[in-house]
This record gives sequence, C-alpha cells and structure tokens, in this order.
Amino acid sequence: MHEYSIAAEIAELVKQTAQNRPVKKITLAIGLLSGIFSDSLLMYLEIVLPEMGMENVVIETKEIPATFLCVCNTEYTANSMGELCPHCNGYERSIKSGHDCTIESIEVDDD
Amino acid sequence: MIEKIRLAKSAHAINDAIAQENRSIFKNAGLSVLNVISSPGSGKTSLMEALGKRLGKRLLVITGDIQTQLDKNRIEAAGARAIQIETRGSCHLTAHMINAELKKVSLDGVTNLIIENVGNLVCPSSYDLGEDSKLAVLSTTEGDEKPIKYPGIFIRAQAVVINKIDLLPYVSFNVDRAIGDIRKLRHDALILQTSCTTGQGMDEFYEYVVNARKSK
Repeated sequence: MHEYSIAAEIAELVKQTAQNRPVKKITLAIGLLSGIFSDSLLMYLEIVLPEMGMENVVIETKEIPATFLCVCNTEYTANSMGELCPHCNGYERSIKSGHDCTIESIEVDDD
Repeated sequence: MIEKIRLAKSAHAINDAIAQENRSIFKNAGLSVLNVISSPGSGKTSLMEALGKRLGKRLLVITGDIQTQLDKNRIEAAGARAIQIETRGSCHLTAHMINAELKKVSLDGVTNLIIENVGNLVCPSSYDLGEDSKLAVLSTTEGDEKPIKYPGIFIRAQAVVINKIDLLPYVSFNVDRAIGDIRKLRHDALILQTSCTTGQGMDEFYEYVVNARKSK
C-alpha cells in the first residue's frame, strides 16, 4: 500500500522529466532505512508506469546500506537499525546514509 | 539515441516540494505544527480533546481517517477547531491533502496546528507534511515491542508519548524496555507518559505542545 503511492510519485516525476520522450530505464537507489520493500515497489511500478503511458521500462534498483556516525566518532555500516556501534556499543549516533529512496537517473530515447 | 538524465531526486520530491510550500504558510502564520503518528486506537484523538479543553479555538487539528467525521466532531466538542480529511482508503496524509485544506481555512487566532495522521505506524512516517516536528504515540495496550518492530516512525519522531499509562497494572507492557528501544532508535527523543483517563502526565504533555511553539 505504502509502496503503491511511492510508485505513483516516482512515475509522475519520471514522466515530468522525460517530457514525452519514451523512457527506457529508471535507476533507483533504495536506502535500507527508507522502509521501502523493493519487490513491492517494482510490482507497483510495473502497474503504474504503463498506466501513465510508459511501457517496457527497465528498472534497476541499488540497495544503499545504512551508515551511522556514532558520538565516539566511529562511522559504521549496518544492516538494521538495531546494530549498535561496533567500537563503543552505544547508540547515540546520527544517520549518514540509507534513509532515502532516490531516483538516480533515467534513460530516454531522444529519436 | 538514448540519453541518460541524472536526477538524484528523492522519490518523494513532489510531496516534499508541496510540504515546503505548507511550511512557509505555517511560518507566515507564526504557527507551530506537529504531525502526530501512531497505530489506530492509541488515543491520538483523546490527546487532542485534552489539548482542546485547554487551548480552545487557539488549537486547530487537521485529522485524517479513511472515512467518517467522528474525530472532527469529538475535537470540536472539546472546544478546539477541527478539519476532517477523509482519505477514502489512502493509509496516510500527503502534503497535497494538507495544502488543499490550507487554501480553504482561515488561520486567524490559531496558535497551534496539529495534524493527526491516519492511524498507521508505517506509511505516514515517510511523508513530510511541512510540520516542525513529528510526535509518535504508543499505547500500553499495543505492547512494548512496537518501537523495535516499527522503527521508521521512532527514528523520525522528536517526541514519543506512551499513552494509556494507567493500564500498566493490567497489561504486560515493560516501560523500561519500550523506552530503551525508543532511545536506541533516537537517543535524544523526548518521552512522555500520559493517561487521558486519569490525567497523569497531561500537564507535561500540554507544556511540551505549548513550548514547541515558544521555542520556534
């Protein structure tokens, strides 16, 4: 349900960017902490894109790991929010990356 | 010829642009805005009623539900102003929905605007509505595992209310565990414990809402 509305937002943004040129490929970067399930997002994009006139679009997804900066100044990569700092075992930290779902690029046919 | 266009834009870019527009409307009106997010039935509307009794018409609540005007009626009966958004199935409010209401409403005399999101611990946390901060509400009947199971909202919420605290003797809710997990997700979260039934913690809750305005 959540992924459906994100798929609709992505499709709208891609459509605006493509300006009537056929879209061939969309590259997405999905952060581990974004709360977005990529299989579900892909399923909805396959429904939403053709509805908006974009057929046969290749979708590439990249998973962006979570990177935290601990107050002890250790920067570490984690596979979940629950992973504490490997250096001090603390959880006072800020999120450096992995929070967002980003449309990195699109490829359009310019003919 | 294939042309590659670099976007590097958030999937929420369209929503976020409207959220920024909302933010400037709030700023121009001198308003502090909270986005309240929780599971259904945590007591969000009861907390809004309690605030409405103290703030009266200075409080405007925009409340979202799949359907019915029930929450709007309750909040108005408590003395505050209220706008109901019926999403007709959508599981969260969007910046666009709020923007549409802001175009219709007068904010004269309003000091606090609270957006009571659709009851859902997942989707609403991903949508910026233009608020100053997010408040998560967790109730003791839901269980103490909710923060660690649904981290998204607890990472993003600057404050967390643990509601229905009067029911602690009757439910297996470990407050220390819940608070520990909330702190693991966001170490600087303000954590309040409230009961709309007994009034416990309601002064602190009121102070938090009013000071959120002063600290702007």
